[in-house]
Amino acid sequence: MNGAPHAGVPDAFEITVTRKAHVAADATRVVVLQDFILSLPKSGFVALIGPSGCGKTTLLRIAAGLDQSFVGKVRNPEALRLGVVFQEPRLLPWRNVAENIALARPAAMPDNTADLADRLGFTSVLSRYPSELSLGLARRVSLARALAIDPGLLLLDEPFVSLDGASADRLREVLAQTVGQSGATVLMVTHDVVEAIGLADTLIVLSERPARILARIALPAPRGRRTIEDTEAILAEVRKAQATAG
Amino acid sequence: MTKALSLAVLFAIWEVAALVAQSRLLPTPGTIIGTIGLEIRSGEMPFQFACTLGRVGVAFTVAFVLGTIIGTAMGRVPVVDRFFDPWVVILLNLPALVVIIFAYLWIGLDETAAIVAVVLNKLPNVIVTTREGARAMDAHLAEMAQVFRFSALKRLRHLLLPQLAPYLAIAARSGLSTVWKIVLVVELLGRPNGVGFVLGTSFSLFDVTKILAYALMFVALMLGVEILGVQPFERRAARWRPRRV
Ligand SMILES: Nc1ncnc2c1ncn2[C@@H]1O[C@H](COP(=O)(O)OP(=O)(O)O)[C@@H](O)[C@H]1O
Ligand SMILES: [Mg+2]
Repeated sequence: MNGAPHAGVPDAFEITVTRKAHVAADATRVVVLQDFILSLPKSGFVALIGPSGCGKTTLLRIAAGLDQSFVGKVRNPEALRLGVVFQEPRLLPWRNVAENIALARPAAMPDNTADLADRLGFTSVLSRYPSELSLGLARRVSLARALAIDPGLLLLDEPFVSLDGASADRLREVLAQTVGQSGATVLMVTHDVVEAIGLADTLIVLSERPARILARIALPAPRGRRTIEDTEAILAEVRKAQATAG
Repeated sequence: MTKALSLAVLFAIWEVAALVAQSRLLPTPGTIIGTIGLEIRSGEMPFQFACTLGRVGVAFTVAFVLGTIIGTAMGRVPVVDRFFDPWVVILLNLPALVVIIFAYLWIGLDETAAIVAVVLNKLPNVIVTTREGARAMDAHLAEMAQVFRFSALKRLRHLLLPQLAPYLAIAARSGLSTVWKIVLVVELLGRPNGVGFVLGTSFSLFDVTKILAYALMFVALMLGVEILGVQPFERRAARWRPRRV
């Protein structure tokens, strides 16, 4: 199954990067992505795992349309509405939590802030300013902001880093539930393989920089309810892919 | 408290000095307060202050709005910055008096010339301060706004202005005090009314009491605007900042 695209499911989003290089401060060029193709099946949950510095954030920024200086193209044929959870919370410091969420939502959408706050556990801080929040709480708000706009395509960049185990589990569950119901297409970057196995239905293992796809692993359904044996087996497969690259 | 005491001591020294000197050139605080009362009742002082305040208001608003727009453009777009920077440097270094004289010479001894002169004196300060703010804008938040498709109006209200606010407050604070002072010179040189005009005529008549009466009221008014206008704005703009404990 390595590298094989999903059979039968149409692609909702496709990123083709022939070449992407960053120019460092000392004017040296660092090639981050080369001949890289990634397609996301409709309503699929794809997790990218790769070593730190391999180009995951760069790829997400290209997918989000934030980085235009690359050779290649991004295809979004159904013009899916984009929701992004950045690596840092990126809340407006001068607006309170409720306002931060409301501002991201198009005017025509129903107000679902209270519901999201309840499920993610930050109702008590809705009228606080971001400077008064712990990083963990700020991350919840940032996740809520992305879910509040009912995204067709959700991009997440290591959304659960630096959260304690219990809150991370709760957030993962809300995420799985919400995208399961809405049918959103998801691309998540993480370096936690077990987390990826728990949430995703496709796992993509990346190499060191410049990032190449070492393995594309389709996970057995149902998403989110893998047995320990399943998880162990997939983990072994990931390790094998990473070892062959090294 | 300390400030009130300091002012009281200042007035006491003044009173004693005036009593000792017994000169027309140094009236006592009491004489001046009496003159202020007379001038207010006759309607003379309110009229002259209204003229000056009107000029300050118009010139300040024009300089502020223009300066904010130009400064933001220069801070965000390098080409605009490179093009206008020499102009700003020249304006910054041109003596206020030169600008005023040429405004009157070229435009004529009228209200427009007076306002233009004040605006040109104030504008470069606002531009430089706002440019600083526009350069310091958070790129991460701008990306967030782009991804979540903030409209132009949302960007202005919730992204741009809150980040510029501290710089605008600095520009307003320093701006107001410069505009006040320059308006007086403009009035002295070429207007038939306003506080600057009164100070000029009183000077030629050696009417020190009237000069001090207008000067004191003027300082009081500036302090009033500072306390009632600028400071509340700054507090509002800083609401979201982490409170120091
Ligand atoms: N703006 C930039 N300028 C120069 N180098 C960059 C820039 N952004 C990222 N890089 C470099 O590109 C590589 C990939 O970065 P990134 O995509 O952030 O990695 P990841 O998210 O996988 O940790 C890293 O080596 C990083 O140092
Ligand atoms: Mg990263």
